[in-house]
Amino acid sequence: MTTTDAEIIERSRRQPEAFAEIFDRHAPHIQRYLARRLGREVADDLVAETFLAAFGKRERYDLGRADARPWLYGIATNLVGQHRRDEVRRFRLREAAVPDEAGPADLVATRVTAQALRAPLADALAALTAEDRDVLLLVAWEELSYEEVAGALSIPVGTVRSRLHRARRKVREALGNPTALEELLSNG
Amino acid sequence: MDDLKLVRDLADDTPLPTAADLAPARARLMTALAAEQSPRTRRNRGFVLAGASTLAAAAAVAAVVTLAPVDVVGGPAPAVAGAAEVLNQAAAKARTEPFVEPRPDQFLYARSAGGGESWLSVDGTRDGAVSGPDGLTPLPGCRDGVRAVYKGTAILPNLSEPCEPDPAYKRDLPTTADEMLAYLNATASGGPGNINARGKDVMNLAGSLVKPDAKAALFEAAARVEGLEVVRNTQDTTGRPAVAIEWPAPVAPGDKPQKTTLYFDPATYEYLGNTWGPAEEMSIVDAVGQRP
Repeated sequence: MTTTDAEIIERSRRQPEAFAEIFDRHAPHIQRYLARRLGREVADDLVAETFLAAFGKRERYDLGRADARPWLYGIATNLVGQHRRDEVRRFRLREAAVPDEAGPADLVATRVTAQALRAPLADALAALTAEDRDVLLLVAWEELSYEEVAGALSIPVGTVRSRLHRARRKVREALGNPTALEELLSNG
Repeated sequence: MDDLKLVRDLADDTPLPTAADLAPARARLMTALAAEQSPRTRRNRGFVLAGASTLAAAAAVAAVVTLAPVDVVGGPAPAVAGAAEVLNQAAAKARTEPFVEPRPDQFLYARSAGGGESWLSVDGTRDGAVSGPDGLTPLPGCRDGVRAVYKGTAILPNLSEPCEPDPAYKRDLPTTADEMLAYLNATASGGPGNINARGKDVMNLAGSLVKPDAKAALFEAAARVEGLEVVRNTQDTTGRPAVAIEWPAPVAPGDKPQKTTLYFDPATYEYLGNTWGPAEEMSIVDAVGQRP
């Protein structure tokens, strides 16, 4: 049986070096999450901050939680909060980004269509409250369960549901009703 | 309309970082881990080192590590000779270790204490993998100056990034102390005279797959570094009896002092590991997913 994160964290209280394993297990996904939200450069820095903060808080880790991912995502999300303006600026930049297209014509058409959706979508994400955006992106990008998001952000599961519901409604409103675009996408 | 899918697609093009991408962050964490040694180890070291640590502090304050602080303190300087002796013994031991040269198309298999596994391309051009929470994550090889970009375990078509091969096994490492010193100078992670960075470079190389002659040359090169301390009757990070070689800790303002330590078996002088943990068991396999 594989050692659980909780067992490693418990060991790291006596043997700090053991905490390296927590980094090796989870740093790739935490870094990608940070890169998705704030860009590669900031992510490289904040992934270190995340694990340093986690290491500093290991005495307080609830050993009843075998999987440390929600805890680490929570710490990473807190750090994203300190860079909120950067994130909004990044979403605005995405609106302007035009991909360098090459490939079969139908594929290009699909991509261009997807690109047409990106702008209002990025706009909508930028316009969400930070609380709603955290929940939406942890669910949509990181595929955390409602329970895991609740653990990560230290909020009740009901609050996760209501924030996700509100975030999705705002995204849908911002996109209007792009049925035609969506059809193109699914046929591409 | 599946708005969640649309949001998901917006993030699609961000690849998982490679082990190399994460190396600087990992190094920062390791520095913090090493700074916070277990109380047990600290007590042992303090006991054994009484006196010698004053020496280390004096040497570190001088910034340039020479024998001068010894005179200032007024004590004898057996630590320096002792460190060289231990490292030369370790070199002799390394030279006798059995070794089979891996083929370029093979993979270096390693399993960490926590059960994480990795398969790294010997020549850096083949696709390796590391195990993570979601199964195997590919480590794309670098061929003709480019490598593929992955999302999770799926390759993203039409996407690639420029690269240089990162071989898991460096075939051409020097095998004499002089050449090894030149190599360490040429590839130094710190500035000239940065003895702490030299310690980390030696530690990194000692922990990788190195042929016996090169590993011996590495320890012989380290034996020429002045200012190292030997700590006898201590334990490595897993509690095994060990003799330790300690690099002086840096005293840059705002830096936490961190000692770089190499551990050797006190009887055979076999390399046991370093500050970050025991030397990993390394094996050569023919394919990703294969275990020795």
